[in-house]
Amino acid sequence: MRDFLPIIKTFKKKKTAPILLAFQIAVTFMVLVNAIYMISDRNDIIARPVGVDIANTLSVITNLSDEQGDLVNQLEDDLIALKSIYGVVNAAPMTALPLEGWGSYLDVRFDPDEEYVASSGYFGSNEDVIDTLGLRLVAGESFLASDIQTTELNGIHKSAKILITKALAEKISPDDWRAILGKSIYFNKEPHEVIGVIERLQNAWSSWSMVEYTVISSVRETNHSQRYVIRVEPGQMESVIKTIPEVLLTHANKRIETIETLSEIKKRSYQADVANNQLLTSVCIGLTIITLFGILGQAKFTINRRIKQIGTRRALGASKSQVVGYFMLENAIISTIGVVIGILAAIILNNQFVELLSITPVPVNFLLFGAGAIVLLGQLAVAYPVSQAAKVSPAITTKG
Amino acid sequence: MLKMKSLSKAFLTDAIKTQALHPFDLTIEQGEFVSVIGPSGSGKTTFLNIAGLLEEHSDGLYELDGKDVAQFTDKKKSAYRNEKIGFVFQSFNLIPELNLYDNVDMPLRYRKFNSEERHKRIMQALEQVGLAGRKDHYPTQLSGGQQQRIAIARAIAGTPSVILADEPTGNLDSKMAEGIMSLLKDINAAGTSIIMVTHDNEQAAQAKRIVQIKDGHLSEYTQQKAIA
Repeated sequence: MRDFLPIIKTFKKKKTAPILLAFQIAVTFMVLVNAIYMISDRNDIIARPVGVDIANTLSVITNLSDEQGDLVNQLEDDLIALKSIYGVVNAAPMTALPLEGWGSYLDVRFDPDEEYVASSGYFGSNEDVIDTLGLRLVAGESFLASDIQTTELNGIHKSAKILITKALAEKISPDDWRAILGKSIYFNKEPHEVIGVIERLQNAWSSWSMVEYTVISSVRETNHSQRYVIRVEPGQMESVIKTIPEVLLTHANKRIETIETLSEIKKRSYQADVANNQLLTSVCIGLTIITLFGILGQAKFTINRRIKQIGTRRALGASKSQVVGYFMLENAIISTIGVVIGILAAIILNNQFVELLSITPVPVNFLLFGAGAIVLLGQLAVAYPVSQAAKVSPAITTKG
Repeated sequence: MLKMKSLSKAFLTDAIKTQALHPFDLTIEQGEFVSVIGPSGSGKTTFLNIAGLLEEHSDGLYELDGKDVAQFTDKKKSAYRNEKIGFVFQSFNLIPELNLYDNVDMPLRYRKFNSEERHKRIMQALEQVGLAGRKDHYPTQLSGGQQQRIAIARAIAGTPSVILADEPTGNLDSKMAEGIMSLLKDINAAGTSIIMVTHDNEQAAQAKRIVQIKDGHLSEYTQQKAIA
């Protein structure tokens, strides 16, 4: 710290270059910290478990045709056919799919005339839903075949037994989430008995803050456009996908709209987030490079301007390492000033993002880590020009 | 204190060897005032650079305080320059962004003196050159003569054994030059050796010994010869 005070005194006389560099570092820090935090936040969101055996689950959207008679019979036939495929673990009808971006939602009430206590995504299915999706029941029991009701449309309006996610149970019964078992909750004015709690199942909307709140009702729907979920044994996905058309397309009126793995559905669901992350990453890399060149340029300019002064310092007794130390410290001071301003600016900018984009505030340790990284980057950027400065001969002092 | 034996310096550029200093012997004892004279390009500055450990000699022996400087590492040379040698340059070489106090302080900071010791030495040196009252001024607020006084204060603050002065009055008018010479003589009278490179024969004559360098050949003059 021998050079600390002299450097500060030097700044008082030569303000412009250090101020500009500190400002550049502050802006870089402010943008980088917020951008990297947003990337990290999004990555965490994308990495959240869906609650489903996603690697081995696929969905098929097909049709049930009026020309072929009773829709319920057709649904049963489809399920028998799908379950018969070699490599299929189980199959179940579903009214919508996790992260599909399409489906129904509901408002949960304890009394039909009271305010709702939570909103939730809705899936209707049958007694095979837990096994098919690979869900984990953490309390209560699953549906029995005798619990399942059938309707052509709007199963959400039918009073039925339901399973709910643990996140929803904790939301509506915060003191003891298990206490919700056996109780009825209301949606669409109808009572629904909670018979089981599943560990996790994300609903249809990945960007919804209530994506972890899900209700599975014991109501299957026989739509003209019918969704099935199918779980396969590991490694059987490809062959099952190939076989599905063979077993389902048994008559001229049968169509398959899509066959898609849940991995693909998840990927599609987060497509915009991934693209935004790539864009932000590019911005971060670009900004970092620009700042590094800014620091490098400023260091080279400063050193070139002070070649004779460096020689004088060497002549008066500064060792090479002391010259290196002087310029490294000078950069560290400028970087630290920039980072301190940057932290304040980053907090202000982050507050705006929190309000506008509903993201969580940047944690303090993130700011501190970012500050350390920026100062370190600055030190790396000046290392080369400073090493050149140390090579200035003290004999330069006696020249011209 | 300073002993050079068969010392020479040659520069090699593009396979062309230029003999800047031909082999010479020179011994300077503690407390001597030696002037080095010679025309431009004769090798005066090269001699001063070697004497001040600013550059290396090619051949021969150079002992400073009985130690062979050829054995010194760069770090040790830096430490020797800091502790044993005071430099006074023709163009002063003060740091314009630092005030006079901090300029004098600069070499002392490399010496690991505590702040109290540094303050004492800085104020003593500034008082010796008559500029203690202007310690908060910046170099650009001073005349050339005053700036050179500050450079001398910077050189003496570390109580070196020898001061190497490279044309110390070269950028000054005669009145200012007179003041600087008087100051150097006072410092010498207090026991510090001075080796002064100059092209001014009158100033050179004020030294006890005069060394002339011509075309890289070093020879010693008596005072009478030099004045003549």
